[in-house]
This record gives sequence, structure tokens and C-alpha cells, in this order.
Amino acid sequence: MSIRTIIYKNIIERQGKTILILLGLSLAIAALVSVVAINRSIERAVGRQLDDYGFNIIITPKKQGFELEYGGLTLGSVDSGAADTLSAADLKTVREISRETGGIRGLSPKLLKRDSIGNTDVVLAGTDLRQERQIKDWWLIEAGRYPETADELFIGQSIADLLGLRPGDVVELHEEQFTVAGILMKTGSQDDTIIFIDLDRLRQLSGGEGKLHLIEIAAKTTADVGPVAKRLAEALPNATVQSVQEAVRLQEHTFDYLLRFGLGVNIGILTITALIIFTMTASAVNERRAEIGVLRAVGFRRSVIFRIILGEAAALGVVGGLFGLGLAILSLSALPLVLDSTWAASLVSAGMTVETELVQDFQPVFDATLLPLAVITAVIVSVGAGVVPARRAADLDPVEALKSL
Amino acid sequence: MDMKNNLLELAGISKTYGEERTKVTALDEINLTIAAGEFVAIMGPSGSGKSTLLSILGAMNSPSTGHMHVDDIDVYGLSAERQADFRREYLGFVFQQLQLLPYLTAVENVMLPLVVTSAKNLEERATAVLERVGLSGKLDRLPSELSGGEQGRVAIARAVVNEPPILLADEPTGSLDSETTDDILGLFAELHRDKQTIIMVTHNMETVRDANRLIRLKDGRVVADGPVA
Repeated sequence: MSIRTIIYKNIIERQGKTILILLGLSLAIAALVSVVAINRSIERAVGRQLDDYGFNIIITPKKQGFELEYGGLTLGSVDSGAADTLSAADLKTVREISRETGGIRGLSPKLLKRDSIGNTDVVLAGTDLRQERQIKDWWLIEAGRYPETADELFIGQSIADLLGLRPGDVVELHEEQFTVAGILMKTGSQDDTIIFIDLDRLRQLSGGEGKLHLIEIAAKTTADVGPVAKRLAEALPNATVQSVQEAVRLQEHTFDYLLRFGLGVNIGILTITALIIFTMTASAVNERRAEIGVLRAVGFRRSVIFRIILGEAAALGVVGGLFGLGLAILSLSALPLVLDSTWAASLVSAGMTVETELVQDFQPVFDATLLPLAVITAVIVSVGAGVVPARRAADLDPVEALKSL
Repeated sequence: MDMKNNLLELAGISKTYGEERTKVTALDEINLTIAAGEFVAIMGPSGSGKSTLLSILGAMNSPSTGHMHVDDIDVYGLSAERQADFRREYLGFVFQQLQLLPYLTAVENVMLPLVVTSAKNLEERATAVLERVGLSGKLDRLPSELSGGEQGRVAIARAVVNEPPILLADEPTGSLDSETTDDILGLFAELHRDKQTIIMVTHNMETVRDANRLIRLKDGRVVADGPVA
């Protein structure tokens, strides 16, 4: 027998109190773990969206006609005859800022053109294919290879499937022939619906010498996005500089607010749980006065009594933390089903597209750090709530405790 | 203090409770010496100070004045934690309500004083003592599964398992029927024959039959101290 035996048997003996403490602690920890896991899930979903968009900044002309979606942003009129375009001078300015700030990893100027192949409308994106590949280094090739000459095309998988195109197929555009070099593996972004073509070749076809519809820029780090975007906006007063990250982060802030609220509620729950544990432990100490008197009489030091009471609290903390973690895993595992059927539908109907994507992307993230988070938090709450009652128990006068003596 | 004969010495022990105006004197100038191997019974009417005296002898209640020495140790000169060590090493307690821990088995209750020592073979030692008090077949019973007499035996076994020089008993038969009382007193007599020093507080003259010294208290003072008649 050891001190641990006394702790263990006492916990078992006081089943009613033990179950109540474990119940409160498990629910509080489950709520905390759920909030943290949801937070991580959303961070991951946001990160995935940023990856999908690939670039951090888009520069477009300021005046625009009807709209075209690109990269999660609404762009202006393309090839409508009335839209303004960026110039070669704008591109030069961007390159200068790239050298000046050192915060740009790569940039890809683009000329977009609506066209048709057969009876199918398509969007051609004229770009420096080498630079495009450089800033979209996550691209995977579904079939074929990446273009090596200006007569080759790289095609998004969705439009390739629609047109029935495969690597090696020849496509005629404005009476000029191009060979499909490769098919881009599905990215889940607008790139799946675009035909990528050499920028100069598209200019020859469309007659847009020197003109650009947009410039995509990849910043070196997330921290570079803000300063670079600001510097570009200052240098290009006739252009709109949009940060894709900002657009997504804006949505993230909405979730962040909700999560902060959740964590605030959670702190409240943990505080209430701590108060419940404090009350129950204090009550248990009171009930155990005679027992504590016996232990003191047979030679248990105050420090040992203190350790016994806190040991019980710590043991309940460990068990409560594990139960709470298990409860959180069970409930969060069921959450995507609920989100798919209800929340996502309500977001769609409210027109909240980015939020909808985040919700649809939601998969609870369970990693190894949740275990120490759950157990350590539960132990801190339980032991923290037990300190004062344990101190009182240790300070009990054995004569007072043992009224019979 | 004569170490050859005297194990315990109380010198000028007084105990008062309350402030000046409400002061109550529980013990007044008690001077006692108790030799090793004595079986001392302390008797007195309610409020005579016998429980206070026992709690002072038990190193759990600091006297207002005076000293208590055991084996040349000034007990109340020790820190609170060292007093706990003293109780563990020098004293065994048998409480009036026996005070067995309800969630521990008989053998675990007996092991209790040994848990906070560096003693080895705790279970073997506790088992041996329980066998000595005739409970070898009930080691793993909870107190609720034992009769009153058996619970008393477990309480005595717990008090002597660490082989303390002094055994303190507070009305150990107060809650027992007459048959069980005889049983328990028989055990005390047996321990006394084995040279165990015993100090027992009681209000029942019948229970002092095996004691070899009787101290009578009244109003916090020793009014008689001599052999049991």
C-alpha cells in the first residue's frame, strides 16, 4: 500500500462526487478541445484556399465593365473593347518595386481573352509560361508535360474534359494551330477552366500589343503581402491592387471572432467548473475531518495530507481530461455531417461563398497536441481548484478533527 | 529524568482555553512521570481534563505552560512536522470511535502508520499483527464487514504495528458491548504483559482492572495517583 492506494480508494469510495466532478470537467474540456480543433480546422481550410489561389496580390486596371471572376476576385471586363488595360510601363514599375522591396517571389503578367473552340466558350490566359509555373509551384500535371515552346498550350482539367482534349491534340485558334502539351491536374480553382498560352502569341492573335489585363504577384512570405501591396498601390494610381490573402483573411476574421467568443465562453465554463470542484473538494475535506485527524495522529505530515488531497484532484484531472478529449473527438467527428446539411446550405442561401467553401472544406483536425492540451488544462483546473481545500485539510488541527480524542 | 525508569515526563503542564475574561483552565500544573512498561489508567468525571491531557500526551495539543519529555525529546519544542514524525515513531493511538478508514481493508488500515515510513514489507508486518490479535482470516475485509470487536482488534493492531514505545487509548471500549469489552481489555492486558507502555483514558472502573496505576483527575488537577485498588 502507498499514498497512491489511499488516493485511488478514496476516489472510488466517493463515487457520487467523483462522477459529478468528472462530468463537469469532461464537458468543460470537451468544449475547449472542440473550440481549438475547430480553430485549427478553419486555419487549415483557409490555408488550403490560399494555396488554391496561389498568388497573393492581383493588379488590375481601375475602370472595368462587366465582370469576370478570377482567383476568387471579381475582375472587370475583358476583351469588351471598352476596358482599360495595364501597360508595359505598369509592368516595368512592378518589376522595379520587386527589386526595391525584395518581397516578391515571382510575378506573372496576364492577358485574358474570351474565345471559342468549336461551339464552346473558353478563356485564354496569355502569360509568361515559365514565370506562371514559378509562382504556381504546387501545380501538378495530370497528363502530358508543361509547355516548352510558344506553340504549345497548357489546359485546365475541367475545360480539357469539356472539349475532350488530350496531350498531343491540335487546337486551332484564329487559324493558327497549337498543340496541347499537358493537362493541369484539378486544383479546385479557376485554373481548371482556363487555357494557358504564351503571352506574346496571344497578343499576336488579339492585337493587344503591350497590354495586360492583370499581373499576378507571389510575395516571398505572408508578412510581405501587406507592405508590397501598399507600395504597389502607391506606385500604380490607375490600377487596383487587391490582396487575395486579405480577401480570405477577411472571412477568417469572421470565424476568428466567433472562435474568440467560443474561447471566452469556454473560459467561463472552466471557471464555473473550477468553482464546482472547489466547492465539492471543500465539502469532501469537511466530511473527512475525522479521517484527516486519524492520518495526522498516526504520523502523516501536513505536507502528506496536502499531497493526498491534491493527488486526488490531479487524478480526477487526468481522467476528466481524457474523457473530455474522447467526448470532443466523438462530437466533432459528427460535425461535418451537420455542417454539410445545414450550415453550408444557409451560407449558400445568404450568398456567403467563401464561408461556404470553408465550411464545406471543414474536417476536424485532431493532432497529438490535443492530448496534452486536454489533460494539462484539466489537471490545472482541478488542482487549482483543490489548492485551498487541500491547504485547509493540511492545516486542520488534529484534536479538532478528532473530537473523540 | 531518570532514563532507566521513566519513559515520559510531564513538568508543570497547564492548559487554558479562551481569552482573559473567558479563560477556562483545563489542566493546572500537572507533573507526572510514567515508566516504560506501565499500564496507566486516567479517570475522572466529565470536564476533569482527561481528554485534554491525552491530547497533550499525544503530541497534538501544545500546553499553555510546562514541558513534556519523551526519551529526552522536548516534544513541544519540535516543529509541527517533526511532531508528526514523533507521533509516528513513539505513539500508537486507539480512538474511542476506533476511526478505521471505511474504504481500506483491515490489513490496509493496519498498514496506515507504516505508509509514510521507509519500512519494508508493510503487508507482512500488518498481517503478522492482525494474526496476533486473532484476525488472520479477515485481512481483506472492509471495516463494515467486521463486528464491533473485530474492528476494535484492527484498531489495536493499527496502534501497535509500528511498535511504538507508548500506546494511548481513549475510552477504547466506550462504544462496545460487555463481551467485546472483555475481548479488547484482554488484548490490552496481553500487550502489557509484553512490556508495552499503555496510557488509557476511561470513565469506567471495570475497564481499569488490568492497569497497574490509576491517576484520578478533577478540575484539571491530579487528585490521586497510585496502584489500582
